[in-house]
Amino acid sequence: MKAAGALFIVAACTWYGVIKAAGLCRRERTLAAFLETLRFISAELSNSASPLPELFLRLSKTARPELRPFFAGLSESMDSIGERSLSSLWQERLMSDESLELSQFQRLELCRPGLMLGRYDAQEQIAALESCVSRLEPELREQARRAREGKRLYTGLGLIGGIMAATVIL
Amino acid sequence: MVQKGTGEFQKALKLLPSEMRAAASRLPESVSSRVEEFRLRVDRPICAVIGERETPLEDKVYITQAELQMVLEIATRASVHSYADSIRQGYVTAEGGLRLGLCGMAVTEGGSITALRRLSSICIRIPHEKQGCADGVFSRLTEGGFASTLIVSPPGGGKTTLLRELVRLLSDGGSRVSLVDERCEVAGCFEGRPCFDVGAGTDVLTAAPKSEGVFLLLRAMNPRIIAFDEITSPLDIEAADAAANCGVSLLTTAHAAGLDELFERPLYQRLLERRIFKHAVLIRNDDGRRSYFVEDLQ
Repeated sequence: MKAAGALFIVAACTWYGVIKAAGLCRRERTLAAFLETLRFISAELSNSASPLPELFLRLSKTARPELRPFFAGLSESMDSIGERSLSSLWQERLMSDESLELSQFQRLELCRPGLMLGRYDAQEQIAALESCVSRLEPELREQARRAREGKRLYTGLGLIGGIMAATVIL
Repeated sequence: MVQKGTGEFQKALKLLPSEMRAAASRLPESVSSRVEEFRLRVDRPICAVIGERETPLEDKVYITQAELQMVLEIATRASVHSYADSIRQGYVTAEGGLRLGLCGMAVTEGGSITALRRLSSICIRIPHEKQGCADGVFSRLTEGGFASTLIVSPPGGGKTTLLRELVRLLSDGGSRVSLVDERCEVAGCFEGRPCFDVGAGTDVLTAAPKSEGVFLLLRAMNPRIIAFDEITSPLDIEAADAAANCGVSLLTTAHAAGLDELFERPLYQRLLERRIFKHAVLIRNDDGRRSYFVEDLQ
C-alpha cells in the first residue's frame, strides 16, 4: 500500500513537471505557427489579390491547429468593419484570446502589423509583416531554447520533488 | 419614375466613419435623396454635393488623414491591396456601385503611377438608379429599330444614369446588349454581381479598357448593341468604328455642354466625321433636376 502511495506521489509530481514543460513547448509551437502564418499572408499579399476576409476564413481552416480559433474569431468579426478598423479587431483578439499560448511581449509585437493590415497597399503591409517576423525570430529561438531546457528542468524537478515528497511522507 | 437613390445614400453612409456618418445622417430625406457626392478633404469638414453646389455638413468636425484611410479600408472591406489596379487609376468601386475618387501622394516608377498613398481627398459618388428617367426619349431612339446614340452632357450631368436606364430598357425589350463597364459605375458590379438592374439580356464586362473590351465582346458575345461610358481617347473611337463596321449599334457618352462644344472638340470631330451616331441625347441639369432632348446627328 505504501509503495503504491509513493509511486502515485512520484508520478503526480512528475506529471506536473511534464505539463509545465509542455506549456513551454506549446508557446514555442504557437509562436512558430504565427511566424509561419505571417510569412504565408505576406506571400499571399505579394502573389495574389486575395481579400483579407477570405484569407482569414481560409486560415481558420488550414492554419496550424493552435491558430485556428484565433483566425476563426477574426474572420467572424470582419462583418464589423465599418464600425471598427481591422487593426482594432486584430489587436483585441490577440490580447484577449486565451487559447493562444503567447507571452505579453509576443502579443504586443504581433499587434504591430495589425496597424497596417488591410489599410495600406500590399508593399506596406508586407514590410510590416516582414519586420514583425524578423523581430520575433530571435524570440522564437529563445523560446525554443527555453522549451528545451525547461523540458529537462521541469520534468527533472517534478521527478525529484515527487521522490522527496514520497520519502518525507512515508 | 422609380427612384432608388435613398438606398444608395444609406450605402454611402456606411462608408463614413462615425462622426461624419452622424453629420450626414441628420440630413432630411428630401435633401439626402438628392445628394450626388460626398467630398472628404483632409483638415476640412465633410461636404455634400447637390446639383453643382458643395455644402459643409458639420462646421466643427475636421477630417483627419486616418479617417480618409478608414473610408478606403471600409470600401475595400479591409483589403486595399486587392484594389491596387483601380487605386493606381484613382478610384475604387464599393458595394452598391458607389465610386470613390481618390487623391493623395502618387508613387511613380518610370513615369507611371504605381500607387497612391497619404490620401488627401476622397470623393464618394452616389449613383442614382432612376428607372423611368429615359421614358421620354426611348420611343424616339427606337423608332424603326435602335440606332447608335451618343449621350452628351458636362461631367456630373447624369450621363451614366441615363446610359444605365437605356441599357436596361433595350435589354428588357429583347435586344442583346453588351456593356463595357470599365470603372464598374454603370452596372455597379461588386464581386462579380451587378448592383443595378441593367436588364435581363445584358452581358457585363467590367474593369476592361473600353477599346479592348469592345473587341473582346465583338468576338465573344455576338452583341446587337454595345454600350460603354465616356469616349475619351482615339482608341475608343477606333473601337466604336470597328463595332459599327460589324453592324453593331453603339450606345455611349461624351463630355460636352452641348452639340456646339461637341463639334468644336478635335476628338469628337473625328468621331462625328465617321457618322457612326444617328442620335444625340442632350441632358439639361437644373439644380439636380434633369431633362432630356434628342437631336438627330445624321
